[in-house]
Amino acid sequence: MNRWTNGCLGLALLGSLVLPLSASATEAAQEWELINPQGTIAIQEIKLAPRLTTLDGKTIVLRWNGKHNGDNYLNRVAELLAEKVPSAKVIKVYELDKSTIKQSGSTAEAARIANVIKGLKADLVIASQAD
Amino acid sequence: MVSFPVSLFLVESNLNPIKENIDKFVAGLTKWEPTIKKKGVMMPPKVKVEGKDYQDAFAKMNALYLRNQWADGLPLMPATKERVQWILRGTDLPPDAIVGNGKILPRGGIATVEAVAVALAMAGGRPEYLPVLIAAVEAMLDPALQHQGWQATTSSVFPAVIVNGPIAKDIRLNSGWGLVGPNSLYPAGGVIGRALRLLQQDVGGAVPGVGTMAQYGGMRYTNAVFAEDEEGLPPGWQPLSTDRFGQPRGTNAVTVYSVSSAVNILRRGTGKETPQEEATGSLYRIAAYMASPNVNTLEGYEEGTPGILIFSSTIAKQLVQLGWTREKIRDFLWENARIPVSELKKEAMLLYMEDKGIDLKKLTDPWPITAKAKNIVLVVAGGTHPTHAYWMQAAQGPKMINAKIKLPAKWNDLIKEAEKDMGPLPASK
Repeated sequence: MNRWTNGCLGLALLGSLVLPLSASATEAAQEWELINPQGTIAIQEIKLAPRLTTLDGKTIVLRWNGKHNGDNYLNRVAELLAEKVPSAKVIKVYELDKSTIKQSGSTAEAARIANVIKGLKADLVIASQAD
Repeated sequence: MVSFPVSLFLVESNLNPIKENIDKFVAGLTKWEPTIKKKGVMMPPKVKVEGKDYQDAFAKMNALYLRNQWADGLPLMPATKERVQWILRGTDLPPDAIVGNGKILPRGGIATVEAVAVALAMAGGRPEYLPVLIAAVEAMLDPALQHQGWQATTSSVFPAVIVNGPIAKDIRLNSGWGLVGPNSLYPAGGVIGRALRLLQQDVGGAVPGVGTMAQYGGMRYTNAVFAEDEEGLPPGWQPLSTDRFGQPRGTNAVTVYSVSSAVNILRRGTGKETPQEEATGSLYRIAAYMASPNVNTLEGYEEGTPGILIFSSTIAKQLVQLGWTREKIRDFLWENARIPVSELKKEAMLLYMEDKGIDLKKLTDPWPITAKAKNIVLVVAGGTHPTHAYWMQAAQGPKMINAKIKLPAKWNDLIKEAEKDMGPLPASK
């Protein structure tokens, strides 16, 4: 055997060691179980305010966060509620207290705005985010 | 729940659907009962993928992830249990440990260490990148940064993560040429930033048009993750973490803030100027770029940053040789990045300023873009050349948060493995 055939034999042996392994790794059927990328979500219980059965005689507060056109939406809702439920008292908090016309941005500010609304003795709050 | 078939409320939008649906509206307020879920943890199911071979499974997984809106358009690696466990070697924290404030908003998915590792696995990451990503998530979720705002906004905001400390060299995080990428020899930043983006989307719900209303998106595949060139700092200059946050030099830490845009500024002269004329002219030119009516940085005007100005070490050292200290540069930029009040008026900025609580009666004219010169942040990084500066203008609520990077006990072993896997860097790099 000359050096060339020795070399070929060597390559063939190497191929028999490497290629079948490589081929089986790429050709075997695959069944993957992947970890879902969405992560977990913690569900916390919160106490809901009692549900209303009627809007008659109730105080409905409209809250606007200052985003474009949310006031247009709420103004129209106020008009329609006045027609539909004339006994309801509809309060546009954004007209009463302009400091509430904002995105709260922090827990403390959210609590402050909620307290303003609470002070109006609201039975129901309708908020518009719009934009 | 009543869904109104209305498009965006624009000028003269049609509000008739409100009237057409008013009965449903009232019924929703008086009859609808919300579904109450029991307290607990909602675990999403494992994702099963089958293929006739590896390539087939890989393609199917990527198609599935695109359909589920868990992807970014570039190929993702499969987050198998084995691959995620390999990544988790980058921390001593347990997989169920909660990172920082926990919830990534608006969706409210929990940033557990495992969720962070899954994103890094998908992004093509390595274990030694994990400590930086965990610290970046911790900083991002700091309430002061108000990430919920820049996650959901119509603005095309993205987080920047600037790393200080020796970890940058350990993990081949770029601080030089092609700073914010790509750079094949220093791939860590792109991958870490991509994983952060996947977390924002998959765990945090920043799905375009649904959870993030960013109109243009932009440089968000990898966000911007890079290291300061600490070896290139001029004498007496401290790294960002030390200068602004008081961390001892050599501390591994990330600084995170939100960026609205980045612009390359050709600051070098023609060669006809004296060095001092070139330096002064370049700073005037940079100040002119900075003097823009950025509505988003009105909030945080007192303490936030209007942006980060990046100089290569070549530029920083040249300026220092000409007598420009860090403070002097900041003061000069602050003094010259002012906007005349007449311009603010023309640009309809005054109403925005009033809305953000700025007292218009006390406005100085011309008006500085930030309350104090020290709010302008200088970072030394980028390829060692004198021609260009890079201005990364801040976005919403321009606070910056710094968080320490915590390394696992077997860090050195991890880095030895990484060196073996990655091979040596070319001698000149």
